[in-house]
Amino acid sequence: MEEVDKIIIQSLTSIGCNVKPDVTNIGQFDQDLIIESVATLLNLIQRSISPDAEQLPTKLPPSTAVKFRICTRFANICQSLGYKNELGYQTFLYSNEIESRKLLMFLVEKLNKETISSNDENLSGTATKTNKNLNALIAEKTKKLLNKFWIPPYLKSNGLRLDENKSYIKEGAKFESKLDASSIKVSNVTSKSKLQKYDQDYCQNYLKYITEQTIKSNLLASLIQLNTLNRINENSLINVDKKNDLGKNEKEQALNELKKSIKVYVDKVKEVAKEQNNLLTENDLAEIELDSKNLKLKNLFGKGSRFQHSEKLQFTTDDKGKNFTMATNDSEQKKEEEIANLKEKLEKFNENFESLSNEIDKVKNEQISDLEVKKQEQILNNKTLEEKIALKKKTVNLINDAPMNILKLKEEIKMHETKMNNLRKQWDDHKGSLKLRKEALEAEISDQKLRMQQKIDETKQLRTQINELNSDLSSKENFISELSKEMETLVKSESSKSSNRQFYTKRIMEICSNIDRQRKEIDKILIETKSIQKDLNQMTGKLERIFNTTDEVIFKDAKQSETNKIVYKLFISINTEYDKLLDDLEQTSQLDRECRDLEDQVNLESQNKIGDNIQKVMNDLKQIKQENEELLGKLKSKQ
Amino acid sequence: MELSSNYLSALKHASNDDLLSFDSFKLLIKTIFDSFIINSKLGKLNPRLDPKILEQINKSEAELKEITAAFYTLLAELARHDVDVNSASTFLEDHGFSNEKIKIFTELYQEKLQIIRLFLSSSTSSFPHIVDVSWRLDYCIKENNLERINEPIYLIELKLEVPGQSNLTSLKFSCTVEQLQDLVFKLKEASKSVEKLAQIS
Amino acid sequence: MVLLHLSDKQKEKISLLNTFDEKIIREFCRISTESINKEINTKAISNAAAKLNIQPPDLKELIELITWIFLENARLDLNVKELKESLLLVGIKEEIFSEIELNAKTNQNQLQNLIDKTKIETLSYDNLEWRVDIKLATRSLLEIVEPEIVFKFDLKKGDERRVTKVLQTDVVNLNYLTNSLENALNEIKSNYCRKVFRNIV
Repeated sequence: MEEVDKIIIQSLTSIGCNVKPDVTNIGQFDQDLIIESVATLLNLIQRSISPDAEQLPTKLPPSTAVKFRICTRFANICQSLGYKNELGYQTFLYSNEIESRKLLMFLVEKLNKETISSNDENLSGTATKTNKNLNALIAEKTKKLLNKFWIPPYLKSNGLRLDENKSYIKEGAKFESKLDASSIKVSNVTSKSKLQKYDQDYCQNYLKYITEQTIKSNLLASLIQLNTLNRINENSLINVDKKNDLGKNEKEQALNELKKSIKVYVDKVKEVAKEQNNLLTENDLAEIELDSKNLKLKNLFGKGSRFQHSEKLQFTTDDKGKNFTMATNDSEQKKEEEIANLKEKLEKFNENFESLSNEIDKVKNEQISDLEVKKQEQILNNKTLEEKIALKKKTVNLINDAPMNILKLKEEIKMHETKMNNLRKQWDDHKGSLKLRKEALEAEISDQKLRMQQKIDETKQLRTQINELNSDLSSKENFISELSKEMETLVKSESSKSSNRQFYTKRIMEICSNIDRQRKEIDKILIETKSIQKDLNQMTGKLERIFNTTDEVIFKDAKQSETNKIVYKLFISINTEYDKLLDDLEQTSQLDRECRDLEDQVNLESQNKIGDNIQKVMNDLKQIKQENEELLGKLKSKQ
Repeated sequence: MELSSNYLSALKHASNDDLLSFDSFKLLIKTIFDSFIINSKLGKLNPRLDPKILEQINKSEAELKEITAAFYTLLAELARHDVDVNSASTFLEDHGFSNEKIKIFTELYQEKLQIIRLFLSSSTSSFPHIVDVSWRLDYCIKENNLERINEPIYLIELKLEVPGQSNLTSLKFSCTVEQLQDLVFKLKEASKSVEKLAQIS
Repeated sequence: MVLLHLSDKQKEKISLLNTFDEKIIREFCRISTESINKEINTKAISNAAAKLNIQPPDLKELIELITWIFLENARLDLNVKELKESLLLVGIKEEIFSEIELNAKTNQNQLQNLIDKTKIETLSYDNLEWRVDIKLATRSLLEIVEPEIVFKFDLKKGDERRVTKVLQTDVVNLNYLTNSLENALNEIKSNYCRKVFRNIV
């Protein structure tokens, strides 16, 4: 029995029952442990049969009545699973070793069968779900469709066919339409706590439900589109933020560069402007003046020509009119026709004239505005010219006192020249040293820049490497954890299963050999007893025969003398006494056997702990009575 | 499957039992799911919601409008990705819905998923769909220009459903026996190849 | 038995025809056969007329007569006996007839094909191409598996114009289409059809 207990305890621990290590056989199981193990076993069995079976409690509540109810339910479930022995609440509440062993053995056996079969099913189920490749899906679907019979189109509303399981199959295109998503407006009340009042008003009173915003287009398509757009916007916003964070330094650099380039550009512009200013001499000024005058004149001529053109047109019409009037003499009808023609023409010309005059007005206006702009420019030019003229006047004044002034100027020029030469020399010295320094510094800077670039590249590389390594690491870690999990489960299942199996087979082999040995012994004993019985029978036969002969001999002798008679009587009495003795012996041995049987029974009963259990039952009864009284009291008080 | 933040905030709002009671939630969800009805009168499959039912919910209309929009989008996206009931319920759980609300949602979702997918499948483009065929066998005897022709002629009419049109259109053509043999042979080939598809395992 | 019915005017022309020998008749036949495909060369006719010593309009009428005989022969699908009977009845010479008959026989088919083009124009079947598609996803609906069969029907209208129609159908309708058209094809072998055909011919 120890072996069985070991197996049961092992499987109980493997399904997660809290069996203490010092519990080695079922006799040591207490009520709580039995309830817990039975409940977990039943839960597992039921779940493997039907996945949505109700979970049974693994611990009993304190209330005795509820305890009884739960235990009867356990018993019922066990019987429905096919447990054949007697079973009731007492088996759980007032357990004895043998019964609980039988029950646990049955349940453990049942569990192994169920879990194995259900595991297989689960495995195949998940396998089909995950490994169901596209081909299989397609095959399944087409097979389903191939088994369908045809239905005429007027019986299918919207070209849809109602399937048995309330789903629709598309057999037509009547209800199909292009994905016509329209833009819809969805308020944003819940996310923003503070909303403008007018916005809130709008959402409350004027915004339509989305189902009413899309009567002509497709609502779901519009929603999907809107959602996608929103998400794209959100994502891009997030990205922009990130970019801002990352590129602050870069941005500053770029800004600085931009500033520098602007400075350079401005300097250049200034230089160019200076050159131009230098180039502007008096002659140029005169030329510019002339140019502007010419321009004015040209413009005037331009205007004139246009006027002339229109005038010409008018004149020609008049001429033609004159010609036609000359021709009136020929015929009046012609005249009238021609007059009509002429009138039409006149009207046309008038129209032309009007349009032309309009044009002229336009042109006039444009040119006037142009000219005003030019005038402004001219005024500016004039100012600069006036300044220059003032300068010239000064020089002219100087020229009045020419020879003296020239001398003075020459001296001054000489002085300035010498000064200038000195300064130039000094400047050259300075310049030379500064130049050298500058070159050295520039070289250094370029060196540093190069080095910096290199370092930046290196860091970039390192960063990418780090990132790669990180992602690698995380993926590998994930992999490791997965694998370790798998490993654990594998180890668990492997060890428990294989050890169980090996253990079982070993035990079975041992038991088989034991049984064999025992059978042989029993056979031996049987043969021995048979031989003894034979001997016994032979002996009794011999005895009887001896008795008969002696009886005859003594009986003959008894007739001869009195003493012989006494001898015969004694002989008979001895015989009867011995018979009695034998009977007694048989009876005592029978009693002995009965005695032994009774002792065995006593032992069995004593194992059932009847005294204890009766005590327990009495206690429970008391408790129930108490509870009932309490409940009655409560009822009364409530009433 | 992702939703934009404004919808998520609306869902969060709806998940809060203080802001939207279970009964209101139930009514709202039920009306939304019930709006997915196949109505043969409308040419299009478009859910229609009766806002009057939602007036029973004690909530500002602006918020209701947004929550309905969020739920419609949620349903559209869930069904679009063919998300199963379990994943849908975990999604709701992640967004703080109570078990009661999740239960009512998943029950209705399971019931209506196929119909919502049907609604989604309606916005697609396809060729005219053959739904029926009728044929006539003629024996041509005489024509105005040709006598004694004596040739059987089949007239075949394919009935077509054109997307977006409620009436059937038809394509009629004639063919000789040889041409019909050719046609039937090709159709049989197509049928066979479809049957082969079903046998791939 | 079908006979050619010639008007009195045509009968007169026949007697004129009888005045020429076979070689010239052969030439006439050649010209009229050519005239089926292109305009008659008036210059050639006037040249020939001058050689034969007749008026060009007369010659033209003769050629037209022969052309008419050819056309009627093709239209009515006459056999040799019928043609001979009807021509000899109006008194054509044996040698001339054999020449005309020879030519009529050779161009009968060609003319019948030409006449065929003038018949009532219906779309007629020319070619079919098919393809089995599995629809896997659309923009609004992902994760679907929907077999679809796409057809390209090439149809002819008259002789030249081609019409191409692209249609599609589902598996159930494909099977129905195939079966019904196969039934149609088998119908021509039915006893009833055979009886009708036999009795008409």
